[in-house]
Amino acid sequence: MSSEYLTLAKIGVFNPGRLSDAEIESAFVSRIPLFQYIFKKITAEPAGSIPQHHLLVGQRGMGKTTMLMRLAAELRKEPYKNDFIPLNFPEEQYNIDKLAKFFLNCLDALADALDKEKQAMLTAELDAEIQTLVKQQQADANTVFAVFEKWIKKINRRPVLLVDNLNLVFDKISQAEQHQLRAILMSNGAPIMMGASASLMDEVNEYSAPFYDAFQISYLKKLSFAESLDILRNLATLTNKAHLGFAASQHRGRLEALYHLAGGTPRTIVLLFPLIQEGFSTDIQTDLDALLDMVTPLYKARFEELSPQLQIVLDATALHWDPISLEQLREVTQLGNNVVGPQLKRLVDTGWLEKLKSGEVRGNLYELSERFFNIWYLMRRSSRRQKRELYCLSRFLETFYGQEVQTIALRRLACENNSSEHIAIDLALAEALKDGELREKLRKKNYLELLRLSRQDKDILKNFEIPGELLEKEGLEILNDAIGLLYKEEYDLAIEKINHVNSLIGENQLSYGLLDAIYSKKGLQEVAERYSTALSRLGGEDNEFLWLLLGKVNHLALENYKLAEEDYRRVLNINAKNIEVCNLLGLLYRDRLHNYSQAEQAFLKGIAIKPKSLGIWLNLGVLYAAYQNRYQEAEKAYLNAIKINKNHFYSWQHLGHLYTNSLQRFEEAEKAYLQAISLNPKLSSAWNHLGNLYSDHLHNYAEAEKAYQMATTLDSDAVSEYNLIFLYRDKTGQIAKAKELFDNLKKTEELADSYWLNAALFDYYEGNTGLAKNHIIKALEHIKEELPQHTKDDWWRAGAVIAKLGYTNHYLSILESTGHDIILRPYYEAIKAFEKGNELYFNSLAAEVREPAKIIYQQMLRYNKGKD
Amino acid sequence: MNNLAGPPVEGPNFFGREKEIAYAWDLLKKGNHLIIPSPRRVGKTSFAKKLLTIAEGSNWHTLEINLEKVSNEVAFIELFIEKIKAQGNWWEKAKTKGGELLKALKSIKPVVEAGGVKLGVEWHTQKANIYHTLSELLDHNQDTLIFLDELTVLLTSMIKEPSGKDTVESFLHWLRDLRQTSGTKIRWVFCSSVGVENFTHAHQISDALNDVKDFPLKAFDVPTSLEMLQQLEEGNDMKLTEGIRQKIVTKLSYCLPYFIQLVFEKMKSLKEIDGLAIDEALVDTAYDELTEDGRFNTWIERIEKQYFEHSTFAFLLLRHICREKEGYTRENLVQLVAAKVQDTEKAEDLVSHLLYMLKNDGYIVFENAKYLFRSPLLRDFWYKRHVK
Repeated sequence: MSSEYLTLAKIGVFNPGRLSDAEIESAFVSRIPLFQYIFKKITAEPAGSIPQHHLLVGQRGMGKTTMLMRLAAELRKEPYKNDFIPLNFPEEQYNIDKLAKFFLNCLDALADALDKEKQAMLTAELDAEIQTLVKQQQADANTVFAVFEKWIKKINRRPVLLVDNLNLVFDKISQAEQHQLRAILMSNGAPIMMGASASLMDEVNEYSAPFYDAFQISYLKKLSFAESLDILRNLATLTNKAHLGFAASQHRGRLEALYHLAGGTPRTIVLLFPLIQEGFSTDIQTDLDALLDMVTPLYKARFEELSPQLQIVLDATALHWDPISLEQLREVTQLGNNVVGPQLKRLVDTGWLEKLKSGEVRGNLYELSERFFNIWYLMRRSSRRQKRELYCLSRFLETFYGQEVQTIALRRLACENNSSEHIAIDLALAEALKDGELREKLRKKNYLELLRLSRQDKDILKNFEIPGELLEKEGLEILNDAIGLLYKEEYDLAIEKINHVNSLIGENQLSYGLLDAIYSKKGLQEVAERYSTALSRLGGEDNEFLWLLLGKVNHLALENYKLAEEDYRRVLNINAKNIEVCNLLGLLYRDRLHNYSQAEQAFLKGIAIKPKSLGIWLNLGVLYAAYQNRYQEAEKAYLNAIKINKNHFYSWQHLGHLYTNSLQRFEEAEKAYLQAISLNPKLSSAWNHLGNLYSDHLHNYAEAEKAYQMATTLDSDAVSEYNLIFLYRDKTGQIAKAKELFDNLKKTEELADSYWLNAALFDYYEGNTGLAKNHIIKALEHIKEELPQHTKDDWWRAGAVIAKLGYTNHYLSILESTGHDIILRPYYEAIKAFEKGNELYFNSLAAEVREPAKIIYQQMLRYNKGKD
Repeated sequence: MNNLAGPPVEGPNFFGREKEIAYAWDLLKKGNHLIIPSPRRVGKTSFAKKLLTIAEGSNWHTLEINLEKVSNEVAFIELFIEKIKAQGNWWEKAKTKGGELLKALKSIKPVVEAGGVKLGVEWHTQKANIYHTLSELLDHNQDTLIFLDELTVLLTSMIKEPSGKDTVESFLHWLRDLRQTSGTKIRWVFCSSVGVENFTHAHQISDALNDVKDFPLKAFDVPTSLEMLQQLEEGNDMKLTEGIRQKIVTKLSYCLPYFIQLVFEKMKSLKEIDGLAIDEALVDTAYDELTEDGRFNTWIERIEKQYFEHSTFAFLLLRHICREKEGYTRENLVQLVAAKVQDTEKAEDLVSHLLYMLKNDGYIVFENAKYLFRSPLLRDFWYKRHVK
C-alpha cells in the first residue's frame, strides 16, 4: 500500500482507470475472494490450452471496471507478468463496427501495455505496424488477428483481454464475425477473454448464438453492509480520515439506510463517502441538500451523456418508480414500439435498466437498476411534486432516518414552512410515519400551509394532491373573505377571491351566488336562496360552516338581519361552542337589531367559551361604552383585552376614547393614546383621537395641530382634516385658513354629515342663518337613528359653537322642524340646556335621557371653554 | 482434471466416453465417416479432438479445421491449405500444388460489399479447377482423419450468397466425391453446434451427407458421473463425500460432462468466494443459484415471441416434460395435446411440429426413445417457474 494519502478527488467513482496499480490495489478492499478466485483460474491456465473464458455480470456501479483494473494490476506483477500480459480497453469501444476493428483495438491495447512496461522499441515497432493496418482500410479480421497472433508469439506471453461492456462489442459485430471470434478464442493458446457486462447478454444465453454457454460467469452481487463498512473504513484510511470513526458514530442507523438505498453498490457508497465522513445533520433539509449536492454533478453528467431518446425512455422509467412495461412506456413517451424497443435494449445492455419478468402482463418490466439514481432523479424533478415522487421521497426518508423519523416529525410539526419544497418534504415525511395520529397532524399542517401559500401563488397547488375536504374547507374560508370584501364593496378583490375558490373546488353554487350579488345588486336578493340550494349539495343541515357563511351573507351583504340571526342560531344549535358566531351574533344584536341585552349575552357566552377572546372583550366594551353607558364595565372590558395582549394598540385606543368621551379622565386618556401610538406609530386614528383630546379637552392646540397633521400624513381620509378645520376655526381663530382647507376638501359619502355641518358653521360665523339652515338640514339627511359614532363629536362641537355664537334657538328650531328633537333626543336636550343656561334643566328629564344629555353638554361646555 | 465449463477439453481434461471412443475409432478404421449430431454442450468437439489424438497415435495424418473462422469458399480453401501447411510431411508432398493454388487464389480478388466479402466472376470461372487442385493435395493412400468442426456455420454463410443453394450443394458434393474416391484412406468427422441434419433437411440436400454415419453422444451414466466428480476433486482441491457426489448426480439426472463441470464450479466458487461449507446443502445452494440467476428467462421469452399461435401448446408440452427427468414418449405427448384439441390427427401434426422446433431450439433432446429437457438446469428452472 502506498504510504501517501489519496485525495477524495482522486478516488474516481466513474473512472477507476485514473488510479495507479498501487492505488487500485489499496482501494480494492471488497470482493477480494472473487478477485482471487478468478485470478487463480486465469493464471492456472496452461500455455497452449484452449482457455476458459470469463464474464463478470453486474449492474452499474457494482465494480466491474474496478475488478478488471485490479486483475490487470495483479497480472502486471511478478511472476505473472512473465506469462501474461493484461490488455485494458476503454469502457466503451465506440469505434468498433466490425471484428477487424476489435482486433485493431487489441493491438492498440497491446501497444499501451508495452508502453506501460516502458518497452519503447517494441511499442514503436507495434505502433508502426498498427498504422500500416489502419491504412489498409479493408484489412479483414483474420489479417488483423494474424498480426496480433504474431505479436503474441513475439512477446511470448498470453494476453488477457479485459473487455468492459463486452455486450456492446458483441452488439456491433455480426453473427458471422462472432463465430469467427469464437473460433479464435476456442483455439489452443488463444487470448483469455475476461469480459464484463451489465446484464447477461443474449449472445451467451441464446441457444443459437455463437457464444452460448461459452463463458464462466461470475455475478457481482450487492455488497453486504459489513463489506460496505470495510470500503468506508478503507477510504477513511486512504484519505487520512480514519480518526473520524464514522462507523461507530450515532448515525450508524443512517449508514445502514444509505447502504440499503445504495443497493449495496460500491460506487454509490464511495460517492457518498464525503457526506458520511463529514457526519450527518440533525436537519432533514440539510441532509437532503447535502446528498443532492454530492451526487448531482456526477449523475447529471452521466444522464446527459445519453442520447435524447434514451433520456426520454429513462425519464419515463424513473418517474414511474415501480417497474414499467413496454406498453406503459409507449403510452407515456408517445414513441412507437420500434423506437422504444431498441432504446430499452440499449439501456439494459449498458446497465441503466434492469429487466424483470412480469407475473401479470405479457413481456418484461423495466426499472432503474441504480435505485439511488432513481431517488436522485425524482428529487431533482422538484418542479412537480406528484404523489409518486412524494412516495419515493417518503421511502427514502423512512429508510434514511429509521427510528428517528418520529422525532423529526414532531420537530417539523412545530416549524413553519414557507416554501413548497419544505412542505413536500414534510408531506413525504408524514407518509413515512407509522403513528397514524401524528401522520394526520403533519399532513394537515402542511396542507394548510400549502393552502396559505397558495393565496399568494395559486400555481403551487398544481403540484400537490390535496384532499378534497381540505380544499373545500379552504374554498369556504376564502368565500368568507370574499363576503367581507363584498360588504366593503371591494368587488374586484372579491371576484378574484371567488375565482380562486373556483380553481380550488370547481365552480359551485356559492361562488355563483356571490358573483351574482356582485354583478347585479338586485341579485343580492337571490343569493340566500342559492345558498340554501348549495347547502343540500355541500353538506346540508349539519354543515356548521355553511350556515355561518349564510348568516354572514344575510348579515353583512343582504342586510337580512332576522334571517342572519336564525342562521347564526342554527350554527349554535350544531355547535354551541362556535365562538365566531357568538361574536357575530353579538355584533348583529348590538349594531343592527339594537337588542343590547341579547348582544351582551352573546358576547358573554363567547367569553365564557374562551375567556381570552380579545376581540369579544373589545366588542363588549364598545357595547357598554357606546350603547349602554356602562362606562365602568366598558373600562373593565377594555382592560381585560389589554390584559390578554398588552401590545394590542386598538385596545389602548378604545380605552383612550372611553376616558376622553365618557369618563373625562383626560390624563389617562392621553397616556392610553400615546401607548397605542408607541405600539403602532402609524395608527392614524390614534393620532386623530389624540388631536381631539388636545383640542377639545386639554386645549393644547399646538400639540393638537401636530397630531392632526400626523394623522393626515398617515391616512389620506379627511377625518383629521375636518378636525383641523374645527381647530383652526373654533380654537385658534384662523377662520380664513380653516375656510381654505374646507374649500379644498374632497367630500365623501362617509363624512357627508360633517361636511354640511362645517359648511353651516361657516355660515353661522358669517351670520347667514338662511344658508346655515339649509346646510344643517342637508347634514341631518345623513343621520339615521342616532349620531354616527365616527362623526358624533363633530355634532357636539357644532352644537357648542352654534350656542357660543348665539344661534341656539335657530338651531333648536331646525332640529324640531326635522323631527330630530325626538330622534336625537339627548343631543337636542344638551343644546337646549345651553338655551336654559342651567344644568339643573337636566333634572327635568327622564333618567335615560338625562345622563347622556349631560355628558354631551359637558363635552360642549369643555369645547367652548377652550375658546374662551 | 481442470474445472472447465465452456471450451472444448483435451488431454487429461477429457474424461470418460472410452467405449464410445473405441467404437467410433473402430468405425473410422473400417472406412466409415462420422457425423456427431448431438445438441450443444454435449462435448462433440472434445470427442472429435480425442479421435484425432488417437489417429495421430496410430500415425495417421490428421487435420482439424474449425469452419467457424471462414464464411466463404475462398476463405475455406485458404484455411484448408493453411492447415495442411502446418503438417510438415503432408505439406512436403503437397507444397508445389498447394503453393500454386494459394497463388491462384490470391489473384482472385474478393469483392468487398456492404454485406461482406463476395466472390467475383473470376472465382466462378476458376472454381472447378481450384477444387480439383485442392483435391489433389490430399493423399488418398495415406491413413488420414479430417475433422471439420462447425460445418453448418459455414454452410449457413454460403447459402446466404447469391445462388447460395447451388454453392452449398456443389461444396457438399465436392466433399462427398472426396469421401467416395475409390480406395481412399481419408476418413471424415463432421460436427456442428447447429445440427447439420436439420440444415440439409431444411434445404432438401440430405443426400449430400447420407453416406456419413450418425454418432450421437449421450449423457453419462451414474458411475461415470461419480467418477468424473472424483477426478474434478483431485484437480481442484475440493473434496466431496460420496453422499455429495450422489446428490449432484441425482439432482442433474441428465449428466453431461458440461453440467457436472458447471455444478462443480458453482460449488467451488460458493466455497471459495462466499465461504460456504462443503456439504450436501451446498449442492442445493449451487443448484438453486444456477437455476435462478435470470439466464433462463429468455427461454420463456423465446417461446412467447417466436412460437406465435403454437406458444400455448409449446408451454403445455414443456410443462409436462419438465415433470419427469427421464422424459416422455411421443405417444404420451400426443395424448396430452389430443385431450386439449379433441382431434388426434391434429394433435399428431402439432406435436410433430413442436417437438421438431423445440429440439432445434435446444429445449429438448430425444434419448432412449423419450423426449426430455436438454439441460437439467433448464428443466428444473421450468419446473420451479411453471409447475411448482
